Amino acid sequence: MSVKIPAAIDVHHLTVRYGRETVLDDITFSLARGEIVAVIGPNGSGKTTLLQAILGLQPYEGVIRVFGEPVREALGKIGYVPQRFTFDRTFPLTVGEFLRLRGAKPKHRDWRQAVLAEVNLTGGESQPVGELSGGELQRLLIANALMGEPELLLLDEPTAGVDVAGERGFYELVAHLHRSHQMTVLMVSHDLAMVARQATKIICLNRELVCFGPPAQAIAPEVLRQLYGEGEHIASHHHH
Amino acid sequence: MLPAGSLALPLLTSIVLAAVLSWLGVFVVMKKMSFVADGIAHASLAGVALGVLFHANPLYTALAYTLCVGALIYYLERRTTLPVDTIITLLFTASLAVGILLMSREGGDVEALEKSLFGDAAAIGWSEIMTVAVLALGEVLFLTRYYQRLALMIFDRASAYVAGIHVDRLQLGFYLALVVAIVLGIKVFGVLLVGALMVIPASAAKLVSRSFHGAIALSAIFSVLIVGSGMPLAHAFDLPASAVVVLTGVILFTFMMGVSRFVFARRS
Repeated sequence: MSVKIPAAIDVHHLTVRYGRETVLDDITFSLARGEIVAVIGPNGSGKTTLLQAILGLQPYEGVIRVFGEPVREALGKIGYVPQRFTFDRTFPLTVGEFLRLRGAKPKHRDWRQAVLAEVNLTGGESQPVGELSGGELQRLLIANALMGEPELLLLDEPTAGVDVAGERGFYELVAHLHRSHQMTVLMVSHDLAMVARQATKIICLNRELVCFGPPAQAIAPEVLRQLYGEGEHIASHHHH
Repeated sequence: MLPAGSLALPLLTSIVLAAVLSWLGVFVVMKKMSFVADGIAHASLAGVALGVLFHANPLYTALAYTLCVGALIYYLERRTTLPVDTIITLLFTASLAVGILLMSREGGDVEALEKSLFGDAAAIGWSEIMTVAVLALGEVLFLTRYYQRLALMIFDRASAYVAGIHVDRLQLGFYLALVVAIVLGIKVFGVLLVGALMVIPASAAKLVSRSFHGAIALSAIFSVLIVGSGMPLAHAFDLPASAVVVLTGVILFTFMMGVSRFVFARRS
């Protein structure tokens, strides 16, 4: 008798409304473990809302399961990298202190250093967070998400505000983490060129699920037209 | 009552309170809600008026009333889209209005009102010292256990939630801890000046610290310095204690601004 392994994320008939406005309309998809999935779509298409619903931060209709469980039960398996880390960077806080804030195990020094080395942050734990570049701060946020040894990594527009070199390094890091930890990755992205290179699946959103599948199939010209309107192609969607 | 003219116990009580206020102040400055101490302090006036009206100790009625206001801030923040500064302004002006009405019915107990507005460390009694000791210990235990999680929640609520922190409960705990510290602080420093004890040490510490733990430690040290020098000074020259304490804090803050310019000029 075979035992069915639950999917990393199962979304069934997800609908999210803000008052009278429907932000996500009847979304259904399922992600297998170990996939690296990009969510694309124009501004206001519900990308961030989808992530928030999966995390349980947003009221919704429908059913969402993470590793077969309600998200609250599965939080220990999730690492989350927020969209724009809005904290006051003038506030005194060192890299090591930031990684200890979550207060959860494992919090030992060796583990923190291993995680910092993995994301290639070499300035040391005593470096103030306010002195990090945009790219370094983004890698610190990934390090923070890795502290709980997640099986699923959720990233919300991770490279917003990061320069081109930082962005390239960042996606290489995500691909490396995906390979070395057999992690499932779900990220919101505006960078179609990267999506075509790195992702195993694409979710195209425009309030509804416009497409879902491998990049070659999903980033077809007619799908892009449906998503973004006329005149959109991969090369033009780089760094506005 | 304590022996007349005795400064030691009121001074010790004030120092303990100032240290707790300064620790909470680090989070208040971090959350950019420095005015919150003033709002909560003003709201507590209605509780003081209730105490005067029913001939109860105003400290306890103010605590009970303001804890309800703290819970209401939390509730309204969750249930409406209003920003927290708007909610606090609504509640504190409403409470202030209730306080003024109650005070006017009582025939205008000007002395009680003045003591609440400006503080009266010298009039602090044994029961109040015991109350401060127990509640301050509770505050220290709360902060020792939760200060890192509080910081993460303030930096990014979603990250705190995903890290398994019960952010709603923690937020409520934070508001209630703020209320207790501020209302206790009113007895010594007064409604009008208690906010300074929360904001000045934390702001001065933020100017010169490179780490979170450094900011917390410096904030506490500054608050002890301010109160430990300001209160004896006021006692020696027979001046209003809270005003002298706050002005001592302003001098220290100005000095730290100079120090921070010097430090950053050397670094760059």
